[in-house]
Amino acid sequence: MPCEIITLQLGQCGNQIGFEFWKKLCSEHGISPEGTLEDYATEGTDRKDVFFYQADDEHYIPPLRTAGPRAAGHPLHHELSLCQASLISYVLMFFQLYNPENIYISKQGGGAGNNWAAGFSQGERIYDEVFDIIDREADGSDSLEGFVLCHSIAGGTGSGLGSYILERLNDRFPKKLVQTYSVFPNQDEISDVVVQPYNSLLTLKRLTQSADCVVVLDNTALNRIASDRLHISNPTFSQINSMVSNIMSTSTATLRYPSYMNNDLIGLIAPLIPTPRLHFLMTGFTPLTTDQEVASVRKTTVLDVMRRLLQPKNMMVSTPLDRNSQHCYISILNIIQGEVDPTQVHKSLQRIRERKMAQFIPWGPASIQVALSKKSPYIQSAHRVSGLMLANHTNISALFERTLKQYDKLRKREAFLEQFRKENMFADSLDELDQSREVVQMLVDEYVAATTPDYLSWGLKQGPGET
Amino acid sequence: MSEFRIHHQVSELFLLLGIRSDAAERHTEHLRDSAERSDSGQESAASAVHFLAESAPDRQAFLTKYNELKSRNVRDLDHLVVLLSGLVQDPGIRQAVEGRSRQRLEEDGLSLTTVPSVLADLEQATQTTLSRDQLNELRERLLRESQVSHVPSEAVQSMERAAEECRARHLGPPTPEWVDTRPYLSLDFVKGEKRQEGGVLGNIASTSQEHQLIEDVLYVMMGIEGTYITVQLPAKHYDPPQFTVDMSVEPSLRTLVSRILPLAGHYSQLTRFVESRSRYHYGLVNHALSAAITSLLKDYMLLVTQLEGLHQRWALTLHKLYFYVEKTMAVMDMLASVTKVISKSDAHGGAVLSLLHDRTTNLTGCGQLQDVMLFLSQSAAVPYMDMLTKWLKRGIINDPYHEFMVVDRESGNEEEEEEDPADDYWEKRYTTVPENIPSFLQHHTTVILRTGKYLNVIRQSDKSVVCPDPGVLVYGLCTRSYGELIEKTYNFASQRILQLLMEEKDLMGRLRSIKHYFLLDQGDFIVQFMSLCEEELTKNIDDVLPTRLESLLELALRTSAANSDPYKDDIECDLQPITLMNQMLRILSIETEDECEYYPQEERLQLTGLEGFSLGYKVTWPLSLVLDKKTIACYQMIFRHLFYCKHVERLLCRVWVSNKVAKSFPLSASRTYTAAFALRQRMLNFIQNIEYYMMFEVIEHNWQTFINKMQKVDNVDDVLAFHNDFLSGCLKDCMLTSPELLRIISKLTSICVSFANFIERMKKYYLEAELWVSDECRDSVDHEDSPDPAATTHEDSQSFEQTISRFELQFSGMIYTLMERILEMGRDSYNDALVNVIYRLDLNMYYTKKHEHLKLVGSPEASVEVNSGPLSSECDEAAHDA
Repeated sequence: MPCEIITLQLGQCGNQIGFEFWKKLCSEHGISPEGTLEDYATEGTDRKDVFFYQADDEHYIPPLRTAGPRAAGHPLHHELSLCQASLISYVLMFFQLYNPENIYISKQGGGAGNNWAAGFSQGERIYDEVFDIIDREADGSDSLEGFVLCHSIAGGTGSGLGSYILERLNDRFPKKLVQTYSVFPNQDEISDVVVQPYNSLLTLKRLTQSADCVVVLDNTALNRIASDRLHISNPTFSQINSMVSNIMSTSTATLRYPSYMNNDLIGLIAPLIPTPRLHFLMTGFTPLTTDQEVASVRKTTVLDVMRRLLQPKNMMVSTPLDRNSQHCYISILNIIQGEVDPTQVHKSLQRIRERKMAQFIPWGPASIQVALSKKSPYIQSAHRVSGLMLANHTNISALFERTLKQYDKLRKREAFLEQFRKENMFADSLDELDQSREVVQMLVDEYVAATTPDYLSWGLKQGPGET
Repeated sequence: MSEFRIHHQVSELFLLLGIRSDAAERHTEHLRDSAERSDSGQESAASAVHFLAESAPDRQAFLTKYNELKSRNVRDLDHLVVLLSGLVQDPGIRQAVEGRSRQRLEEDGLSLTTVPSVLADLEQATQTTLSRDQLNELRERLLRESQVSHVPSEAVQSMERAAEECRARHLGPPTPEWVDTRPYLSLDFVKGEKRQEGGVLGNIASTSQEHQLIEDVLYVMMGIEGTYITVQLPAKHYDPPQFTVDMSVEPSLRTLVSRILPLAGHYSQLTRFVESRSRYHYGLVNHALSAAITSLLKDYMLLVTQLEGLHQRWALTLHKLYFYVEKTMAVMDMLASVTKVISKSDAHGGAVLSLLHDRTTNLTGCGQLQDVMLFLSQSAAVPYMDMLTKWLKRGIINDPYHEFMVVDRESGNEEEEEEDPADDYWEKRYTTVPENIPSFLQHHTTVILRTGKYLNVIRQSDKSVVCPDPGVLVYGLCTRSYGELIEKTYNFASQRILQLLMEEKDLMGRLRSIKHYFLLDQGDFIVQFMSLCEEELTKNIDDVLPTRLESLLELALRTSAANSDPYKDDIECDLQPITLMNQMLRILSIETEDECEYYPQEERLQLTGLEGFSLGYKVTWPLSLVLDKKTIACYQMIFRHLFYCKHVERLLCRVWVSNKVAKSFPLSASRTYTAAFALRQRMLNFIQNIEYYMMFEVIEHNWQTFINKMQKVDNVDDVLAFHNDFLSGCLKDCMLTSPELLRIISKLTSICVSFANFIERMKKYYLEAELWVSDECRDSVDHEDSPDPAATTHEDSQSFEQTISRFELQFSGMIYTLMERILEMGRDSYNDALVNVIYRLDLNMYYTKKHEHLKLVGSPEASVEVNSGPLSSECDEAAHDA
């Protein structure tokens, strides 16, 4: 099967959103939690094989048609967190879906203790075991196109082990794409993880240098959307995760329901990312509903959807709205699902252009790519049209700047560094932190430079000075 | 007749006449026009006749001649008249003709002939069938007018006979010889009959004279020459014979007799008509008509017998006789004139019916006469209607004498067709013969033709089809009687064939499946296929192994979502030894002077498999009506275009993947490549937008329209028309029909390809350079042995940057040209669809601004130069490099 994608879920957060994602995919493709195909879904033109594969029927679940997620390597660490008990049961609910061989649970128990360095060094120890799993899955695919990694950047396992695995993946599969769904921590509430800024910064460096495409899922924005737009006063994890799973499933819809275009991962992300470093994508989704909400019938036309997607309040990344700044879109991809007349799309584009609803980069042609995709035939939706926007916006640098600020605050006080010094990596010096800061700072600079017309010669002017 | 032949003949003619040949073009044009304009002749003919009549020296003579010809229903008379008036109007030709004829006149001492005599000449010409093709011949004949001499009627008759024999040989069994050798078999007057000498009648008393004359008249009425009334047979077989009454008869009696005698003439005409038309080759309609006339003649004979009875009892005087036959005379007169027209025009089949029908309708209000005509028409129509019924009911043509309005062009074996149905089967197999369409069926012609065609198609794929009983088709003055029946059968046939195509053969499913593959609707299949075949297809087209391609195609079909398509096995590979652009240009430039330009001989040598690759599709019989070879070829063209665009997109994506390593380059170094990245992005942006436009805005949009139309379709011809609309819409909006745009786009893609190849080539170097440099930085160790690394890096990057900027220049130039062209075309033709491309390509006005900036900065000449001159040559170079 062409263009398979291997999904890796790391850490507590990664596994949670991963499970939601799989739940969503299963319902979209008519696969029961046991991994069997529902009767009504036997004849389909969808492509389950991008993410699922059919297992050998002897030693798996009895029914002939059995699908297991093409998910490999779940180093499921017992995080020292309050939701430990619930997490386990959560996993067990969908346990049957996974190939048990593909679930890796750290033997010594206990997670990385929210410590990036611990997670990273743990990665070195379990490297062989984890990559056994990954290699096995990669060998089992006909033409592997890439990896999808779900993790958070704040914790220990997701960030530390995630960073390690990212680096190794890049070495081992230099030709394969690595896309990550990275959860950024909530900035509005005080985190119980004190070293969060360190973790984030160190992970950001790996995301910059080793991932090909990072879909930023900002907990701040997700919480805000949940409370402001969905009017949920105290959003639960599952509610937020269902939003995330919506984003993840829609962003892969064109792969699973093949149509004219965007039938491979590269076709989706290549036009979004003009230069290799600027690969952090924002997402927006409309219409926003949760499962609980009784969907009020809204008139959703293509123009409505496209216009709403451009509104900052629908963006799932919280960035300060600064009207004076020159921040602009580098590229936009709208994935629109539902019955859409292609001519409507054109009219909407024209309207957006006339009203200048979106600001674009001045140094190259940028357009709103629209991918029309089918909807799952097995899920009834109240909305005729729904849309997801993947956007490369220079404004995302604000997120990194915030991380940098927080890091600087901590670093000035030399706070909480003992935990890091315990690990080999930081035993001698804290150079790694400084290097990471430099990389992230450069990234921020590059994003800022991308707002100016002479971005293309930006590097050339500065280049000689640095060397 | 081809334009070339007309032209040739006209110029020959001009040469012959010694006229300057510059007028030849105009006349060729005129001739061709008049040949094409077959229907519009009516009104122009009227004015032409008027004009000719005005200019003719003897107006009356001309008009009589014209009317006579008209009455004989001479085909193409109108065209001829128009031509003649054209000749008269044209001073040049007139001069030439006059000069020519004056010359002749001097030579031969003949008088200048006028138009009527030309017509007289033509009369002979039209004795044989006159077709439009003979216009030229006629013209020559016209110009040779000074040679006019009356062809002896014997000669004409012999010609006629020869023609008849010729026809007889083809149609039906031969007429037995004894029919000709035994003249007395005829009920008509017999030539060369020995006359009974009865002495001079004038010598006896007038009552006796009357008695004798009545007896003679009765004889003559039965086709036997009398004693005192002699018969001269006419020169032309359709004319009535001449009767001469003995001169010595009392004048009053003679006048009376001569009033009755036309009846005998009519009888003679009718008998001769019946006897001659009963021969096989005149066809069933004529046979039926003859039979009907015979039955009328029987009544007539009964009358004669009754009269004779009276005469025997001495109860008949000439006055009484005249009184008795007067009514009959009107009927006979009418019949005779009808038969005369038929014989004169040598009509048969549908033409006879048209004549009869016209007569019948003209006689509205004439009571008995119309009844008689109706009887004739009805009887004559019976065989024709039988044929029609068979055609409408089963689609069979049983027409041994070529009388029916529909002709089966290849009345051959059906087996062959099933194997390889001709491309244009639908168009060409069955055609109508205009002269054989009875005028009362004129309105139904297309319906009748289609009905039979449909039935034939149904029959070929499903022999057991049950046809509804259309009832008995009877000719009547009221069209409703047969019109409804024809509609009924048509509805049945069209519904049946639609059902056959749509339900049994699942036409829509087929089309959908074709759309999946040819229009790349099934994206994952194409992705899979391209990744499998890339290696094979990048070879030169002669080295590509078709069998290998086939198996890879098979594999791609099985492993993609296309697997659930029941028709996937009909897809096959097809390699065409010509690029799409040349193919399109060749098609677009057919029969123009440019044609030969697009036959590059050595093209094949440089062609890669990718450029020549196309899918094929196996179509089985009834579906090939819709999906004939031409249609598939259209699909293939679209496919090749899309396929190549997809390929370019994949190349650029691959560049993206191989460039992603640049993330780990040190910052300063990776920036060197930003320009290349930006250019790649612009190319990707271009190719994806073009693809998106073609796929969603053109193909998908047209497809939706097509589907909507197809839901309401109720006959197959509409299906064909809609499908053609769909395809031509796609071809046009995908910019395939505009050579200029196509050329620009193919140049753009070739720039993209050479860019991608360049980057791919450079990969080795920049990886080496950058990673080595970075190693150096990291390790801070100086490698003593290596030659100055910084210098080489610098040089490399210099040339690298230069090349990139050259690519950038080429690409921008072509993009501007493309956008300008599209805008121009949009202005010219109000083609909205195309202008949409611009919106997509340039959503953030990047190109517009930049172009304006360029225009402002550079002098006008410079910008022009950038847009067209050196760039195009550079592009060619680039394409060549690739």
